[in-house]
Amino acid sequence: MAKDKYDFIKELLEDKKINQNQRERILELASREISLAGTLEERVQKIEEIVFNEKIEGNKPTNENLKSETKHDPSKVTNYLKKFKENTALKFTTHIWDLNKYEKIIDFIDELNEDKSHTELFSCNRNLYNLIQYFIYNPNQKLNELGIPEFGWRNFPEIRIGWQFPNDLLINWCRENYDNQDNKKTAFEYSLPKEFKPKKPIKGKMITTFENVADVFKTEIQFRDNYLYNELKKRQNKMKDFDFVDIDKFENLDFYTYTSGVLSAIDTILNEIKKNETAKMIHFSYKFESDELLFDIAHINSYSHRQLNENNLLQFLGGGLNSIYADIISLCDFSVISKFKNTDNKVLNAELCILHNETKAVWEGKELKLISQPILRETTEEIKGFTYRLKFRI
Amino acid sequence: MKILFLEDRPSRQKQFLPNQDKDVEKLKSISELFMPEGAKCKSIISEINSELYQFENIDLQLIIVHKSALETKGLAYLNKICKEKKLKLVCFSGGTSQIVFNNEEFDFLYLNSSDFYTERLIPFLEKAIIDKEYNLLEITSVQWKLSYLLLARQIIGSIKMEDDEDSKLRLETKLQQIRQLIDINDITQLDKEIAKNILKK
Repeated sequence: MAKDKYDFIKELLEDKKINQNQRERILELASREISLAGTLEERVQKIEEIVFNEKIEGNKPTNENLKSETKHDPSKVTNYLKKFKENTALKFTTHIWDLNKYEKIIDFIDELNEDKSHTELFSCNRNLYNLIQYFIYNPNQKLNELGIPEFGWRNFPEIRIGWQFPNDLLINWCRENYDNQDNKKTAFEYSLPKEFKPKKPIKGKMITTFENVADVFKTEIQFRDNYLYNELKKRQNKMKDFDFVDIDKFENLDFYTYTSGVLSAIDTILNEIKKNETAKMIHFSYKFESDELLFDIAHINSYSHRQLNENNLLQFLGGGLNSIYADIISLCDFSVISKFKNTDNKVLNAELCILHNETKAVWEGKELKLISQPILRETTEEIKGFTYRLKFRI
Repeated sequence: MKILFLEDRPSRQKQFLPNQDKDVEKLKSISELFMPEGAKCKSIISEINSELYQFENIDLQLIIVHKSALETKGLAYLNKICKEKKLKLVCFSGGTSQIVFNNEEFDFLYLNSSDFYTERLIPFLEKAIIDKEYNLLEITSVQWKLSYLLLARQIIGSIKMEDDEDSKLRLETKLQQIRQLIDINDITQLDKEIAKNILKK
């Protein structure tokens, strides 16, 4: 269907003069137009999606303009995520309420919606933006062909409820159970309706209340309470023929980041490491440098065999490295440190900075492509093997 | 000073402690408990966050701190200090809904502020000053041992049936932690311990 017809439907639906019958008639006709079978509810969802997407996502690329520039700005993302521990409305999306703070649920929701800073995350890290949008605001409700939300929780599409979605379900419950009540119940006490309870545990726990949802969300925006350590241990259990050195040092390491993005990058790194079956030792370490956390994964005694063209460093990228930078763009700087061979076969001890201060990238459909060159820095630090370095702002 | 207690939002003490002002005054009067207020408290936290605070007091055994006041670096610094000096560490915060206990390298307890500021806190601190043989879990319940024994028995049963990888790992980790606290090797021994603890009550 041409885009002008979507506009037409949108205008009609927004017209307050039309009555319910007319509205349903529009939806019925529109559903025929886009050849969508299914119940009226599903058709409404499809039409709403069309209307809604254009309404709230003005800063998103249109179909005609799929190439959109992405900023690599880890400080912006970290500073945003740290607002969840400051005395802001964001904090109270995950934090037990002081009952005197908000008289009515709508006071809280209004304060939440006043803060538009999350919209800037769209051009930084889309998966994080989608997560925040889904948990706190009104998400894009598009489903893929399997009926899974395309813009929901990246690894946990079974979670289909947030503070304001769907249909003010939670807000309405709070109106009845929090507003003007002597015995106030906060949103965290909301017992999820059957259709919103994931059938399987998520991160090892059954999700039955909104508090459970908030608890999972907390570990999506922060490595906390041994989450990173446990995730490393899980991967160690799956790669028993490799030696994971020093993961115990990651106990109690807390920091804000989009954890699913980082864990996905770690998985890709480990898959790359598995390709060299002769070197079986992986050393995990971290250190602080000023306000940065340097997280290194070193594949001991394994070095790059590919030639590094110093005149076009982008040529070195591809495969796993592309996937890694796409996952962690704007979450942390990313570099690889190794003994490289240049095109003259000269060995360089160097750090190839892939995501750095001057990185520019564009989304081409679902693929993120770097359009700026990596930076090569010779290094004097001891190189024990091909090392992946993630540098977080803390 | 045997206990360093860092609370950057003291109004919470009044809010949660059962006898409010009276309990706050009692807290302040405990000898060997150093609970700095206002700017002094903030300054110590800031020094911890910058890894500059020197834990030189040789009598110090326990650090209690509001976790949200700590930055990533500050918490890592406290972990390092507690490992090196074998200190116990209690973190409380409104942002957690669970109790985390770990005693692998040093004793560490993390719990919600409302579970921390209870009628058990003052007796716990008084005991910790005079008796080296105390367990951080006494803050959570006087019957912590019985609770953990029962939990251990429940976990042993659940692990066998669990097929979700994350759930299994969570249960195994918890069981391992309990085993470090309570020396139990089999279910018969566990049952005996449970009976003993119930009778003791």
